[in-house]
Amino acid sequence: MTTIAPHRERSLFARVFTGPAAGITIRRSLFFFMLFLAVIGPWIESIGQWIPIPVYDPLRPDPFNPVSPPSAEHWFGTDTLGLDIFTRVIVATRVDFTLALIGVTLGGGLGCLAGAWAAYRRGWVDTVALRFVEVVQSFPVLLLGLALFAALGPLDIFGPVDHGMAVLVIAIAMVNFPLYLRQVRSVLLPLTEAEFVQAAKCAGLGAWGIVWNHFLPNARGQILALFALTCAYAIQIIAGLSFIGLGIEPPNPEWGSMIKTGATLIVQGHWWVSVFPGAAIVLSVYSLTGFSVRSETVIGPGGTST
Amino acid sequence: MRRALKRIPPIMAVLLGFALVAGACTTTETVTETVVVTSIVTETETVTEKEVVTETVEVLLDDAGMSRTLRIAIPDDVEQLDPALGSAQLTNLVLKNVYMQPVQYRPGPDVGGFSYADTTSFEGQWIESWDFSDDFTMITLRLRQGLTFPTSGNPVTADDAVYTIERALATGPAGPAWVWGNIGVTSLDQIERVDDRTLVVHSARPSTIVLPLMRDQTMGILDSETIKANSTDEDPWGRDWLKQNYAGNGRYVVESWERGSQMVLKVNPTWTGFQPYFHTVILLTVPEAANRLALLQSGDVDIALDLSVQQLQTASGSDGVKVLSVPDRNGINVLMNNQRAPFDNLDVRKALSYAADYNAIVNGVLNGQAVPSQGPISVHSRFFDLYGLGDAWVYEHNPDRARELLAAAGHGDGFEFEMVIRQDIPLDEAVATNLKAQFADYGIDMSIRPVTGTEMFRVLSELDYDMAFRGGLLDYIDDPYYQFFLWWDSQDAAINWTGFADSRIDEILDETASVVSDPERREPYREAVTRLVEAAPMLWLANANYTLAMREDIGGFTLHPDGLLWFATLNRSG
Repeated sequence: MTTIAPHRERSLFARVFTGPAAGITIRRSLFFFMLFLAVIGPWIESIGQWIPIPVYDPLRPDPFNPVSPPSAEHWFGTDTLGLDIFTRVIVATRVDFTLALIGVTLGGGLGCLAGAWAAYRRGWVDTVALRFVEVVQSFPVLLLGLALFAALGPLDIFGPVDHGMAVLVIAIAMVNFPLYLRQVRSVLLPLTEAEFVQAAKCAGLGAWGIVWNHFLPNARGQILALFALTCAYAIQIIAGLSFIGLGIEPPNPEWGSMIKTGATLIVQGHWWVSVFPGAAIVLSVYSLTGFSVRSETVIGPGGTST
Repeated sequence: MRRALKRIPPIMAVLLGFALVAGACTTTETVTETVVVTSIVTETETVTEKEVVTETVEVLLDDAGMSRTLRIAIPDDVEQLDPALGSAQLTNLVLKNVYMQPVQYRPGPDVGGFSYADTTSFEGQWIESWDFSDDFTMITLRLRQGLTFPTSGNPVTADDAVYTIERALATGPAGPAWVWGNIGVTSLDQIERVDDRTLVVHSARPSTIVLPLMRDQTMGILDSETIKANSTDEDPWGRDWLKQNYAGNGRYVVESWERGSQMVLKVNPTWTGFQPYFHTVILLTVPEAANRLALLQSGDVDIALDLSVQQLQTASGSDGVKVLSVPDRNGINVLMNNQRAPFDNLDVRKALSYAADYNAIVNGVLNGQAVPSQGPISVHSRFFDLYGLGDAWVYEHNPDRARELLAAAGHGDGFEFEMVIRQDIPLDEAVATNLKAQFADYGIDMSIRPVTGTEMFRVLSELDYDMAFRGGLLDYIDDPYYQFFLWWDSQDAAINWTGFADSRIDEILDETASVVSDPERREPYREAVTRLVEAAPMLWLANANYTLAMREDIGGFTLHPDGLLWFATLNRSG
């Protein structure tokens, strides 16, 4: 019988983010650095007035200085429009991180609820949920994204929200929904006959009350591990879709579209246009996966806190 | 499961971070390798994912051992081969060379390695000579003798000419029907077949641009017997057949067409006049501009079309490559929807005309390969000096005046709007991004929406946009009546894409439609240009140069007003 430790969520989060086993690792430092960049992104130009770093308006091209190599004035060089790549890589951090966070939270949240409900109810609810997961996961991510953009492209349904960003969020949510559903269901399925569930039923709690208050918290560790992992995955999806021209509209900074801008320039020796945003993707994904590893260490192989 | 999932992101990250980046160097779907051997045979091998197509193309050498095969890297495949339907510039380019129009411009004098077409002098193509009646309403056309259609062997007769005109009028209203309409012909009754080689065209009114219109790529003569043989009850004009097949007799004829890969043209053996230097022209479809540049640099192609400003700069510094950059009428113009707020407000349109930084566009975006625009008539138009338009008032960058006008229009704090551009076109993106930054200084929030070429045509035709930029806009004929009728006639303009209307300009067009004397047209058109500049229906930013990257040994280039590359005069004398 699995022992359920009450009130452990605080120590779980604390240990994932600050636990002594993790120490001050490179990944964690990198993550907080990226997070810092995401926070300061919109004010980077103002910050540049106070500290001596060469930052510029990320949307103001310098038509007299296109495809300029890295220099003291432009640390990462400029792109074909004369936009400063260093500034745009920083500003794009917030765009990619925010979209990934919202998309994963939306899809993951719904997926967790659906997974927990499927595990609790079992029977036809569980069967339908699993078949749905299989159908959605049978589509390649990029194909799914293309289909979404094709379907939602002509519709003006997002009001003041940027249409491309909204569709990106939906695409990420759709990709993550089945991942969380399947993961949470598999974790909670063995607990359906657990004593605390039976006790809750005897106490007269409704089905949703049991799922929300007693069932779902037992998957918290796995959800946390998956969350970091899927955020990293989402950043790649955003970059991939932007690379093929979907999502963030130019000239707004986004890593994938920045890579696209420079992709054809590499054969001419202008490597910096693509490499720096590409490196940003690599580093952010590397840092995020560190938390997933840490979460698994904290949770332990059996899914409980160690 | 978790461990498997855990490994995916780092792997994907590496793939996206490096494979996407580095792999982009080889993003072309088709890789074309050309091996030129020293004999008179060249083997071209086209490697695709699924198949290998090997084709042997005979290559003739000139006395100096130079290849008489011209290889051109083009960005897209040719859309289709019916001259009545061409629309994309590249398709028009091919139609112009593989079909024979009634006339063409004569090359002008050499001006440093190239020449401009002489827009006042014509040479007959399928017509040998022509005469105008005294009132310019009757045109007698005499067909050239001895011409045949190479693919069928059928002789070119007056019946083919009549059929071509009849088909044009029947398949209108666009294309050649529109052209014949401008000549003053809207009915076949206006065409009189005098004998086997003589036609008389009875025009409804005189026009100064009859011959310039007759050089249009849509006016190619068709092999009537072949098309009739391939027509059906459902498709009596053989449109479906002619889209994919060839029935013409241009200076070059279509020998083969591998869709999406290449088109091979051979010199027309039945043409008895001046013989082109190049016996074979191979158009290689290379979608990625960077690859077109690489092929040019390696010498695998002689000409690379549609390179960006940066790529032209790179090309000009490459061994064995030269970049032709010559003044042209190419208009870098931004369209405003005059029927939609806030651009239905004259003060707003004028404010943006003052807000635009012309120097940044001309010397920055276009790298100095342009001059600031002086209004609707290009500074490189023959009529710019002839009509004394150089002293006309034009807009200059004036931020203070822009702010005043915005305040007067009630938009002192700015406004929001959307600019539509064609996707993946570097020039469009550069112009739009620069204007966005420039307008932001006035509190104007401009968003950019890239669309496909088809969608761009729709939004322009239906006036479903705020502001739009569609690359360089070039009127195929250098004539003020042509341009005003094309753009600014509020009733009949073929492409009044700004929704502009001015009754006085309509009157001027009506009054000058039949005037063939330039001195008589001068003052009316000066007035029309002044009214148009005052109304600011679009932003006239610059007149960009015609640019072409080619191998150093290519010579004989002649720039035609339509900007369509004319193969017949090219050679290896460069």
